[in-house]
Amino acid sequence: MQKNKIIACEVFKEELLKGLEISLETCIFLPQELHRTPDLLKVELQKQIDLLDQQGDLDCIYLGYGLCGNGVVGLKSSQSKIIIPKSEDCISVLLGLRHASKCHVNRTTSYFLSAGWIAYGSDGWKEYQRCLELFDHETAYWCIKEMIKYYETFILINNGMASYLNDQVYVQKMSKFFGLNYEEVEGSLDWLASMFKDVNSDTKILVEPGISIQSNMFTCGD
Amino acid sequence: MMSVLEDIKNSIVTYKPAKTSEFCQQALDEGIDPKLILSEGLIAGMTVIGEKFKLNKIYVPEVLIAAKCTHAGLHILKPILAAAKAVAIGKIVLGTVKDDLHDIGKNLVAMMLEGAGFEVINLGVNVDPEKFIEAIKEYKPEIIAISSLITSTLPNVESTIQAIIDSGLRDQVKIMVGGAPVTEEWVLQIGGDGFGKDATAAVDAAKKLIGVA
Repeated sequence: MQKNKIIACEVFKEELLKGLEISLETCIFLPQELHRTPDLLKVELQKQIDLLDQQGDLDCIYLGYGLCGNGVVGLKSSQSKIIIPKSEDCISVLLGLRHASKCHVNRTTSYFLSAGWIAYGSDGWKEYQRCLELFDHETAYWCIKEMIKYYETFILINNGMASYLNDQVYVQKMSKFFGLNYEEVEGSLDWLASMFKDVNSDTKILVEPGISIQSNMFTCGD
Repeated sequence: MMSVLEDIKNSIVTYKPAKTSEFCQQALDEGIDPKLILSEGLIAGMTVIGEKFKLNKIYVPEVLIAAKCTHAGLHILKPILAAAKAVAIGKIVLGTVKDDLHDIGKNLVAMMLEGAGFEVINLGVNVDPEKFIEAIKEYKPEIIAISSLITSTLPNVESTIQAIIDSGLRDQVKIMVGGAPVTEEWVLQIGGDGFGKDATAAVDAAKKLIGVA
């Protein structure tokens, strides 16, 4: 029987554990905030891969990441093959394969949220609350409005997770507070699931042991 | 260091724009060279902020307020600096690449470049390759600086550089690229000349490109 491990951003935690029913023991989840610092993300991911390599008995390491600001470029395992979704970031994976070749949502002016983003990530509302500990309301509100000034819509990606109804209320409240539109889009777990299927496909990248991940292995843009 | 310069720096690090303004005026009243106030007070403060941001110790809101402090200080210093008729050390046109609307980092770089003595023409966000080309023709800058913050807009940096090559203007400018997903190796690979990992490094790279480092 094959032995595999998944190192994933916690933004995919619900989708992997509940959606795809993967056991928690198989997964190592890393903090979502690492996406802000691709260099630190790379260091942390390589550290986790090296730890798994030391165990020496894995066939495959799955990475629950996209290109993520080049944060996965240069990663390699000396012992196992690595499989990673062929995606620029988590938003594409959460939206699913329907949007893979051409995204049907305006990515430039949309601020996306999902179950994982709301549970583990930062967003306008959380940042506002954090800022209230540093500044007055006016300053805190100005900061967040400045950060999101070019976005027009908060879009909740619905992947049928248990938190959906709460997430809906949360994002609607945030949209109203900051004066942006609210929309929902149906996501899919198919891209994430395709990573684990034993067939070659254009939705994932397979890297042999000793070979490092390169940015030109990914498809970027629409 | 003169204590008022330290006060200016601290007002930025502690996010107090009114204090920055007040201390800059005090420094001028004490007869301190405005260029020194700029470099040892304002820029020094923003350098600390930049370092903290790079290490993920602070996030964008803190950077925004620190930038507000620096703007407040520059507001006091600019008339004096302008009266001294300081000649710009170089001209830079900068903008965020097409389809990318992130401008906080780019504006920070613009501010630091201005502080270092560059004339900066800021084209804003979501800048088409054609707009960069028009700006090269109109402003004749030594450097074009392109920002991209998200992975999905990186290919647009490449196409912007290609458009500059196709327009026959590539020899007239140096090209710098910056942003969280950008690496030096990639910039050189796609035909750029310079890269800065953060705002301070971007200023160093720009100076190097025009030979004043």
